[in-house]
Amino acid sequence: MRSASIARPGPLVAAATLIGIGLGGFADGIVFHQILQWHHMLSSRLPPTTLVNIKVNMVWDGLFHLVTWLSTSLGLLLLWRALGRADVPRSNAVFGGSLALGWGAFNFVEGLVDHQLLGVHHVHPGRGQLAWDVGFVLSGAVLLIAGGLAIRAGRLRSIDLVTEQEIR
Amino acid sequence: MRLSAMALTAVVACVAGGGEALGCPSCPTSRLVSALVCGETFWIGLAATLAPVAAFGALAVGLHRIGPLRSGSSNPRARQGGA
Repeated sequence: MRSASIARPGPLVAAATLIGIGLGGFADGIVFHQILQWHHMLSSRLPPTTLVNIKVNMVWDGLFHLVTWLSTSLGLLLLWRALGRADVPRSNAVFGGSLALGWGAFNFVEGLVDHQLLGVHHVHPGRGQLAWDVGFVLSGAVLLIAGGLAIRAGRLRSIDLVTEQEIR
Repeated sequence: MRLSAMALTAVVACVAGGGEALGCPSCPTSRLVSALVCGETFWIGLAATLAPVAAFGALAVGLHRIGPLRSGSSNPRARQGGA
């Protein structure tokens, strides 16, 4: 039998982080790729100025959305499993912080890899391109830090609750 | 989510003519799109799509291992008998 004093938030953090990564990817795809059309997956390599180039970018945008869908689905599956475990604390702060952590991880990693390292697209190509790219990565860093702090606060609170139960 | 599975999906999309399934399955435009997706843009597109996935997977695996925390072992407030 499990000890009631053990709090294992890892499964909840991992699940919500994957959901956050997926939601961050969907937000990027829906807002920047489709509504604003500031960039597409390979728009720095194939500028979307011809029908063929737009259609090629649409294919790669679709594969990108497939990845974000898989991340969200896997996160939901892991969340369902985590909620069935007695040793996983149901903490709003841990859950919300993990969502923010995932979204931040998406912006940070995608910004570094796709915008800077591979250079396949930029947030807002043209004048001020670097500022937009840096802002995107910084938004990821801020979300990562905020999410990490919220997770930490939620973990400490869950320990306090367990400790209070033990004292009673 | 496995990198190999995603790569396989992209390859299957190319073999099945993923680029052709966009409105005019057999028109010259779609054939050109398929050729570009499976040709000169394939590897850079695959890298741009999958490289972040490796980082996300590693992050999720690392986060899944958080805990367990035992009450009173690492929380100063708990060690002092409550806040």
